[in-house]
Amino acid sequence: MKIKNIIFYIILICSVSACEKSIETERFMLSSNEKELAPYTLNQTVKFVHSNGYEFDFKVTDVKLNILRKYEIPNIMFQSGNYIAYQIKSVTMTSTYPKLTMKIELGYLNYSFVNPIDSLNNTTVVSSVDSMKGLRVYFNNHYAYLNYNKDLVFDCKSDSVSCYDSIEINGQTYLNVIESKFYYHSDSIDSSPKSVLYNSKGILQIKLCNNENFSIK
Amino acid sequence: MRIFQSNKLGYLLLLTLVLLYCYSCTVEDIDGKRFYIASEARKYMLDTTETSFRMEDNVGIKETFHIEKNIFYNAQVPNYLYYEEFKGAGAISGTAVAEKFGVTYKSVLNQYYFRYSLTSVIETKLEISWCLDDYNFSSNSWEDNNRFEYNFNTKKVSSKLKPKVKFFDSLVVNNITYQDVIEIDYSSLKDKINENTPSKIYFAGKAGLIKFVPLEGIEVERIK
Repeated sequence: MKIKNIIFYIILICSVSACEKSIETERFMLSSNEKELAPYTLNQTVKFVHSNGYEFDFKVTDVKLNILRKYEIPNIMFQSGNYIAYQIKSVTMTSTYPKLTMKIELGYLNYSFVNPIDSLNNTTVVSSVDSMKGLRVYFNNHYAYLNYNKDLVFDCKSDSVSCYDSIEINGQTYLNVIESKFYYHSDSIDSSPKSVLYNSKGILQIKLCNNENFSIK
Repeated sequence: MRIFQSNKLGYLLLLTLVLLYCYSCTVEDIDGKRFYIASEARKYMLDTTETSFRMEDNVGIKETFHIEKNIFYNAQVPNYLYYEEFKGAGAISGTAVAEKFGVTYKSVLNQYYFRYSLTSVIETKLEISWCLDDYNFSSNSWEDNNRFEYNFNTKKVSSKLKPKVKFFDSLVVNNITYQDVIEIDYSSLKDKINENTPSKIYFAGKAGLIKFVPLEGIEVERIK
């Protein structure tokens, strides 16, 4: 009986403490220029061509601006403590054939309350909030990651990215292009995506592991 | 006299109903039995030693397919060919064992994800679930529209949605002759199927998927 009472009070105390009101400590909104990093509008048609010449359209099926929260204690069941709110933009586009889905997400995608610990010196690395900004390109269920700074310049330091001053695609010259490898891309010669080429115009090209590609027309 | 005649008719009707009821009450006992895939359906089992293959469409885009034993919500399937207990229902009682053969197809580029199975739960059936992927789920993906079933005992399509089915002794695809080919044709049911269900699809015995038509004008064929 005593144990039952103790359990009851523990549950009661936990429940009351869980009801503590969370406070929004900061709110990070995307600037209008930042939103233009994914320069697509709903129902827009984007012409693409396969490297063998087949032309097809991507239709922009979804453009969203969402406010997400990140809690100090990001428990799945009971998120608690104070939180920061941050805005992300997501754009989804699909094609009928080939049956592809591309999605772009941008904003504070890797924001963390606790700054990462420098494991060598065991000290906290003070990183600015702006260094947490990123843009993720999904191609079906594969994704590639691009970081950008407060001046909206893409970070070319990572091993998984390459930067080009200009690149020609289907007779058009595109400036300040970044190429990022898809995570978990296969080294075999199959039709999985290998890398994405991106600039201020959006997705320029998707390279596949079998040396085929889809590029903007 | 009329009352007597109508009573007589009523008794006859009642007797017929009672006899019909008793007849339908006959319970078949399957306890301890093993049901195997019928010999005429065994030729549609795939050779599972080749777990990936390539296809190419008529506009020059290549696609890679992988085959797997399991589907994400049933990781317990031990092998392509396996045995599973089942319980009889309705007029069938007892617990029996069914032979089953199943292959899950996943494509890399277009994200096709479907399961091809032969089952012997009393009768031998070919079952195909077209859209296993939540990622590509649409309003036409619900069970009835998403499932193909052919009963080898009755020689009829037994799923709710009934595409046309043809059997060929052989079919030439990309200069290769494939034996024992099944054609499933949803051309007249296009408004009922989801975007992951090809309007026409061809499976060959041993080889499995050899050709499909995802939409009008596009044909995807198996290549070496």
